[in-house]
Amino acid sequence: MVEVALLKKLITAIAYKDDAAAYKELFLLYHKRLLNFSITITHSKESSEEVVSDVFMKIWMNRKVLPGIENFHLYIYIATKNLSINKALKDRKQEYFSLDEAVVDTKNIYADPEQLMITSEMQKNIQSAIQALPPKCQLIFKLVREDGLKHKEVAELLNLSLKTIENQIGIAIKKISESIRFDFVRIMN
Amino acid sequence: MDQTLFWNLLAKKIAGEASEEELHQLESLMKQNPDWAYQAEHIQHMWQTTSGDKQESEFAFEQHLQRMKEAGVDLQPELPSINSGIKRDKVKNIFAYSAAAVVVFLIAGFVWLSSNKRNVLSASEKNYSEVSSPFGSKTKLVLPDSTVVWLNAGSKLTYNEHFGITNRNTTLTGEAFFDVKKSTVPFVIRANNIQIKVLGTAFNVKAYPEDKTTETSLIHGRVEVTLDKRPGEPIVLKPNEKLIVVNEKAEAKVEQKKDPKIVIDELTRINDTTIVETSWVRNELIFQDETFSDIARKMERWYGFTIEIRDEEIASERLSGTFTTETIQEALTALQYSTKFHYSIKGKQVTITQ
Repeated sequence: MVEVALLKKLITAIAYKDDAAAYKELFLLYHKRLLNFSITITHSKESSEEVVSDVFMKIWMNRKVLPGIENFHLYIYIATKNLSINKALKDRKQEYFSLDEAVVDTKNIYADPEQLMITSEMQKNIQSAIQALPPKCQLIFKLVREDGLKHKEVAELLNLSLKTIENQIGIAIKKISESIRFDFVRIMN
Repeated sequence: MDQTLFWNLLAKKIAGEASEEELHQLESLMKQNPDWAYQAEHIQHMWQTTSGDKQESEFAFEQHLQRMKEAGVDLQPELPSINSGIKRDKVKNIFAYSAAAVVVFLIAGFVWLSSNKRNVLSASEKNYSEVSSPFGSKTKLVLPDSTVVWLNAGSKLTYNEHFGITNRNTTLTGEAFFDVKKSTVPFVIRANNIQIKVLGTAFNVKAYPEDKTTETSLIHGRVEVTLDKRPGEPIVLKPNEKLIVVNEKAEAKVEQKKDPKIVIDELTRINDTTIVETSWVRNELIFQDETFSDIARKMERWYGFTIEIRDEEIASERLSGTFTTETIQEALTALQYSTKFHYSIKGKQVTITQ
């Protein structure tokens, strides 16, 4: 999750003081998540590193207008999406991009076993449950869970209805829960 | 029991988006179905994960800075060090001397594209220094006499080793905005077929050899422009005036004339604060009622692409517009709203057809 207050502080410092340290902090805050999000579209880490760098270059060049952006968190995801799609189309010589082509890095989705009371068996089940989800569903799940986007924001980002987002998240939660439940039942026996 | 509702509610709760009412609803569903509670709890735990390898991001940031440099975007001023505040104040002081126009630029917050690609040859090797700004980027430099110069894309400024001591002579190819520091030593610019002499003032010189004209636009102060063909007859410009001299090569093609063609015109203003002639300094590419072929030439420098218009009619079409951070694709797409044409991009080459 990105804290709103921290974000505001960083943006103000960047916009009004040309604060390079705040700029770096903002970069570190977003790099990994934007990279992962971009890879779902470009399918290439190398291309996505470029995309994220381009997004941040634009942010620096347009820093004076940053405080005027109503929802920076969403804005930076939309900027990443647009540049990722451009990059993907160029890389793959395609004319359009569909969400069904999204490739979600599921390695980032399951939890740290040290932190949770989950057996490695359960972990595997959860992971395969997530992997079995359709790409669009995985992407939505990831954006809400890892990127801290609100349902409404994911809807705007992906040009889908709010209802679709809610249902897709519901499906993801249900499928993951079922994999846990399966385990639970087995342990009990 | 509506299971879908349960999962959707749980999903909302986990994401922190459930309303009070929805939370109550979820709670009662859980009470009715205790076997769901275990799963629900695990899912909630799973939600809180930390992701990201900080070191990897640190490395990515270094790479990013490198790319910014290559693209000519500078973090300005430098990455903060203990004395960064002092440095910034110094920069501000330079600006404080200068024109209201420049102050307006600062307030408007122009984006400064960097000086890292500039190529300063040391005096000992060559007896003069040369600074150039490649296509697709801009360079800001401060000369030894504290004069501030913004060099537009595809431009070059040279000055000799005695610059700032016995003389302030420079040669310009391309376009530059000068904010000349006041001094008793005249500041002289040689550009195409003219020579410009000033004492202290702010003005823009556009002298790309491939353009049809050489233009001197005065923001404030006073400049004297002498044409090579009319030595001893300096033309004095007043603020807000622009001198346009037809370049000899271009002129020769059209007609043979003894005197070079010149026009004194007013600066083109879009509003009180935006002057078209100097808009590039603020990282804006503005054109007003210009032919597509002139615009294409501006865009070539701006983006570092070559643009070929394969249709006479389109080339002579007159257009107006402003671009700031648009990519070349976005800019061309925007132009398509004003006039019908097709374009294709291959590498750094744009071809425009009917």
